[in-house]
Amino acid sequence: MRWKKKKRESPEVSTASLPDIIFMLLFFFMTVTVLKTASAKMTIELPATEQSVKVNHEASEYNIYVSSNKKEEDHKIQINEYLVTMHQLDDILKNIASPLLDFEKLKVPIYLRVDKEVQMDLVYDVKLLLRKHGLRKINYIVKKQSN
Amino acid sequence: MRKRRKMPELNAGSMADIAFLLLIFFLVVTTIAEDKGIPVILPEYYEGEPGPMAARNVLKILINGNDDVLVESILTEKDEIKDIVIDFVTNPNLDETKPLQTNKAIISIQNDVHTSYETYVQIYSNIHEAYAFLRNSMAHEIFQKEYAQLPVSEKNTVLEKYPLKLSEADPFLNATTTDL
Repeated sequence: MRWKKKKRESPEVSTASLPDIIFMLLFFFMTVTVLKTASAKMTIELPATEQSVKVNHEASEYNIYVSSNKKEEDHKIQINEYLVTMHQLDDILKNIASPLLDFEKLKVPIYLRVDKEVQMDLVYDVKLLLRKHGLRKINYIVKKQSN
Repeated sequence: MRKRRKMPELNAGSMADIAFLLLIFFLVVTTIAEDKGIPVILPEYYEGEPGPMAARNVLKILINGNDDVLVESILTEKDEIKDIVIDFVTNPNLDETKPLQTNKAIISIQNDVHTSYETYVQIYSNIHEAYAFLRNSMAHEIFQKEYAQLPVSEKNTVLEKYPLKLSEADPFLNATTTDL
């Protein structure tokens, strides 16, 4: 028996909708992307703990970084993108808190990113300043412990 | 008179390439890594001494400059704190040194100025873990749900029974480790 070999043409794949698909992906990533506003200007190694909660970022948040940098005395604290001394931090927090009502102050999230080597006196001073200005909603940012 | 000109045809063939380029840019820039944290509301600022607390309601945790942990004057490992807190708050054997009601319990932490932040945060997280466990088990018992899934009113019922009362004393200066 002889098979008739039919030469079949493979169907063309339409590429006309390719740009549309790519654009869709593009818009997805554009909306999802959060450009990192500020990052630490010093090396900070976060401590690891067993219990932690996912952090929801807000537009009104403030990040305070404390590093264990032992060489440069004044470059230990950073708020958002500014390196500050304890005295300047006091002024900045005062400026943040003074126009707010008490219940509004409790809604300003402060994220503390503190290096694990830092000694508690420095953390205590920062916390005392926050309490003094009524900015009491804080969050200790940690790493999740991997077992 | 105006001549009718033909619009030049736009070449859309490179559109996909442009979109690809943008896509790859956003892919690279996107950071999906999320932060983990321990949310805390700091106590109000006041000057002067805190009010008196009944001794049986307070669980005293001390951390020294070498990151040793003392719970009620007994040297303790960090991992044991969770069980100690649970036992203290629930007081299953009706101990005289533990609170009668769970909502009376106060956890007091005092640290040295030389205590490392890591130890402090780990102890903090252990206490939170203990309370998360207690709240969750109560939520399961009464509402047959995870604590996180409860509506606000039911959450408050649980919170009334297990409010986390933390007292943080000012750090003490450890004379033996101060090097000035």
